[in-house]
Amino acid sequence: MITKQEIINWLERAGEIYEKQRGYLTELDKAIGDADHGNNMNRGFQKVTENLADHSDSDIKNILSMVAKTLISSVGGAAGPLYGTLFLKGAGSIDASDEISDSDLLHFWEEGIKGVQARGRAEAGDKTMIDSLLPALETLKQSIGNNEEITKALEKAAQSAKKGMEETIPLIAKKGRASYLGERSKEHQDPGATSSYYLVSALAEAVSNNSSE
Amino acid sequence: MTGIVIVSHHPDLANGLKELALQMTSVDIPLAVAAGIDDPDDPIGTDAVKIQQAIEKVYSDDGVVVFMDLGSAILSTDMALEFLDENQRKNVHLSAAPIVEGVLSAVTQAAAGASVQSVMEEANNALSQKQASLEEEYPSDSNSGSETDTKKTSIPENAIKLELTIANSLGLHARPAAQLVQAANRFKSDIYIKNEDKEKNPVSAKSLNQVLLQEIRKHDTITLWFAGEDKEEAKEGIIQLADDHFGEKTSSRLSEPKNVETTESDSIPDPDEEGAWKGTVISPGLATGPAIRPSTVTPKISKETSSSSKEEWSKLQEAIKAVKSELSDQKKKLEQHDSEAAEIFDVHLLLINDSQLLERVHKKITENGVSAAYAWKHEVDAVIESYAGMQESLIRERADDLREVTGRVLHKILDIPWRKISAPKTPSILVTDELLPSDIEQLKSQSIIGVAAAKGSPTSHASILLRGTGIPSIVALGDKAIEKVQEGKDVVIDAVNNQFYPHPTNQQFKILSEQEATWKERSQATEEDRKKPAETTDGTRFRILGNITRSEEAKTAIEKGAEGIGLYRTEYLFLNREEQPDIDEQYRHYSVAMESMEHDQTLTIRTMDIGGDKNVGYLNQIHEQNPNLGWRGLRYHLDHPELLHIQLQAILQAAHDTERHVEIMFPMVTSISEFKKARSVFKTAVSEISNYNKELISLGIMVEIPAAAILIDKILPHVDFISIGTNDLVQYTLAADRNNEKVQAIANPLHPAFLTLLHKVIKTAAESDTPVAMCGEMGGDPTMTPLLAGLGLRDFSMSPGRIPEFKWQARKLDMAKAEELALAALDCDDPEEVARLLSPE
Ligand SMILES: Nc1ncnc2c1ncn2[C@@H]1O[C@H](COP(=O)(O)OP(=O)(O)OP(=O)(O)O)[C@@H](O)[C@H]1O
Ligand SMILES: [Mg+2]
Repeated sequence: MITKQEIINWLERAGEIYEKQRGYLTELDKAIGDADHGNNMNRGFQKVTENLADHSDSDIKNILSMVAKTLISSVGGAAGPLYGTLFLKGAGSIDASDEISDSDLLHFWEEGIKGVQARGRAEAGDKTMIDSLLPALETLKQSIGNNEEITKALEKAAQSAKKGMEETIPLIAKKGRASYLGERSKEHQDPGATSSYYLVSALAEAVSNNSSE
Repeated sequence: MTGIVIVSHHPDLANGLKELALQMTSVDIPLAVAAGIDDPDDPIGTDAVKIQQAIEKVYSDDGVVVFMDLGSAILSTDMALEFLDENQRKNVHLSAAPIVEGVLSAVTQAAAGASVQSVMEEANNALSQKQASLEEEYPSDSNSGSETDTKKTSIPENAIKLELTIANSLGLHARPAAQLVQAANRFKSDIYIKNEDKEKNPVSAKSLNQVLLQEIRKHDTITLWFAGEDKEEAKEGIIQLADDHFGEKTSSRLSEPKNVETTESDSIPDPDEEGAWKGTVISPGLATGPAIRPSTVTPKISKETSSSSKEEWSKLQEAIKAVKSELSDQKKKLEQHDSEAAEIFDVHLLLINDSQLLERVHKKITENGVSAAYAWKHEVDAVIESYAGMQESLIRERADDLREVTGRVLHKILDIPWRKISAPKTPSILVTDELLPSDIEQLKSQSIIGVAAAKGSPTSHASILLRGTGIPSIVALGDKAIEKVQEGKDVVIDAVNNQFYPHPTNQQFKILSEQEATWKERSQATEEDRKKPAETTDGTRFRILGNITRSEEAKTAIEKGAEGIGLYRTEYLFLNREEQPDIDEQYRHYSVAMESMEHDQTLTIRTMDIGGDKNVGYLNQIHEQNPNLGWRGLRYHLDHPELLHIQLQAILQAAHDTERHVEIMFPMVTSISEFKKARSVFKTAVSEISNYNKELISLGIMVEIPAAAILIDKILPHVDFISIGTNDLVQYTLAADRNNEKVQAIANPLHPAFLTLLHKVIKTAAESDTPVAMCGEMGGDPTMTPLLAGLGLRDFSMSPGRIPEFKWQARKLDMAKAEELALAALDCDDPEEVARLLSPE
């Protein structure tokens, strides 16, 4: 079971991470993109944090839709429509309430990632955010299938995301701006895969913190 | 019009591109930009919401094409589509074209009114054009005009086919071709066309140039292919257009409203033995003198220029813009009067909207550093040449259109006036291809004593204005008649006998000059007295009225001495258009005509008389074997009382508001029951007008069917007036088509059978004190006046130009002799005998 408060914590935590890692993400994007990914993510999630203040009465579905809209209209780069779609489709797959079940959470990620792939047409191995999102989803699915504790499940998912992120380093980018570099995109970690890892790990943190309290 | 959206990360890029693209056209194109994000520190990026708003801003059901730069621009646009209303979404298309080239081509194509599909297509082609031009290391100028024409098109497998044989007398020349192209562009499907008789390759039916270069002429078989989601509708649409002869009529006599004599330039055969050509008389009279031809001065063009390529290019842009807006203005002006003539401007607009031509000119200016004028002329000449090299004469003539519009642009670049009619020192005769309304203004201030034009129709706007000047003039003489006329050489216009002598012999010139002198004297006299009544020597007073086709002519008619309008044919308002004129439009026209009347004068307005020979699409008529005996006039209206109702409402309201006396006349009445039915429609219309003044309106019929004439005594008690339509009454009585050369002579109004019928009608009407007028050709012919007056006729309605002369002759009439003559004529056995009575010797 995940509560509304945990969702809010997740999003705020993500905002903190993106603020802190802004320089790093931009650094990564500088190598194989246009050096804006840190700014993009930070801008988007600061707006999300701001908007959360007005959503104390909203249910989870509502909050997640708000995130989608905010990211779409404020991120500016490819990450905007992509993460926007993740939250939009994800939110669309769950019921409107103040608590969601573990399998609802799984649905959120499943449908959200499906949306990202439909939008960006990226496959695993294209050196994109998909490369950390898909392994995270796979792990989450398995854990929940095995009736594992949700905190544990998310912890493992974050680990898989991290692994996927690191595995983007040797890849040649097939999608996004980096794909214009061809061979030269090798030996760099994908910024989007990195920000995706942060997103998953922020959720893991938010849920475990809450339950340990 | 197709809307265009530019999506870019950078506002400067998008706005710069917008500016660049809009230079290509003077048409207001729905174009919006969605660029950058709302972050002042880092404004570069894309925003799906902005994109959505931009699309909504330019959205119409004609569709929208979105051009994007890269990456998130595409993702965000894709996202924006999701936010759109579902109905809108399917009309929004994302173009994969390179953004700059794509937008530029799209803008020109959209400005030409093309469908969203062909905008997409044209944009996609932009890349291949660029590729092609970069592949050629040394681009050759000379064959640049034919680049697109030789490109092979492959027909998709699932395409459906349509085979047609062209019946248009001139084939698919510019106007019908433009109709086809415009219709094709209304559909999403790809449409291809191939002239089977010329062994051409199939080309897109959405491009005017390509269709014209197929050289499709009468009897050619063409194949059309349709591929795409709406291919069935597209095929159906083209079939309908073909049934409608691509907006043209197949033969000239069907093309004009009833009772208007007309000869179209293409049906002119050759001069007579005297070397005189026949056309359509606009204003009668005689004129002899030197010819002047409106000059299009060949300007001096220098290749070099001291200004930058950029300045030269913008000079050209300005020039094109100016010409386009002139063309649109002229088109708009004409549209109100003559939508058919206005269409020619569409052709001209399409011709200078040729994006490929512009591309080549641009290249020439920038790469060779030459002047805009030089580059323009050079490239345009190449295209004109490729037209001129065509087998088909009509397509060759497109070169003339192109020469004209591109010439206008050239003159604009050089800032010298186009087509100036230079004021002649001696009185001269203007010999020209075609008169434009703007020319008439120039004529008035110059010593032009006659006008001969190759093209034209009696009802064109220019002709109406020309008639107003009273300058002897003949139009529709045909190109051949004027082609060899040289400036300064003597020519003769005999617009009394409808003869134009482009190369008169000395003898002819001498005789006709003398006649001209007499005519002038005479016309001066008749003109002076034109407003005086036509009263015979013994004091019998005739009422002389005008026949008009269009509302503006009422004024000219009164000016010419008409004492009212005896026949306002309203058909003109209903012809050559896609929807029927609504009540407001009708009201405006009727009001204009009514306001030209004095308060003591009467306007006789005839309700619409259109039959199956007129091809007015929206009336849902059927094609008839024998339209003259068919579903026309009141017969049609009684089956569609709602249409009659609208027309009557408009007339009633106009009469009410202008406070003029109006006679409403129903055409093609066979029995009194029909009149009664029409009257009940009239009564409903009356009941809807508040404060209806009964005094203002009379109801009557046109007597043009023998049945109505024979039973006239049964009809008269019900009607307020009658008017005899001799043109139809003659041909119905004698069963001879007046438009059929072989039997024309039989349709002779002097036939005693006809005269007997006429006499009966006039006499019976007089006995019952019902006003009776005559509005056919016969009524306006002064040689007939003694006979008609003798039969008892007093009200004559005719084309306004005839009035001064008619009145002048009527004043010399001796009524006693006229009555004697009429009696004798009624006693004759055949028309020849009557003719001998009229002009003894
Ligand atoms: N088609 C795609 N599918 C999935 N992920 C993508 C795709 N395109 C880009 N990405 C991810 O987005 C990241 C870059 O995000 P960022 O916000 O910097 O966008 P950007 O590439 O700068 O966008 P823009 O196209 O506006 O320049 C990449 O590292 C990659 O992971
Ligand atoms: Mg970037």
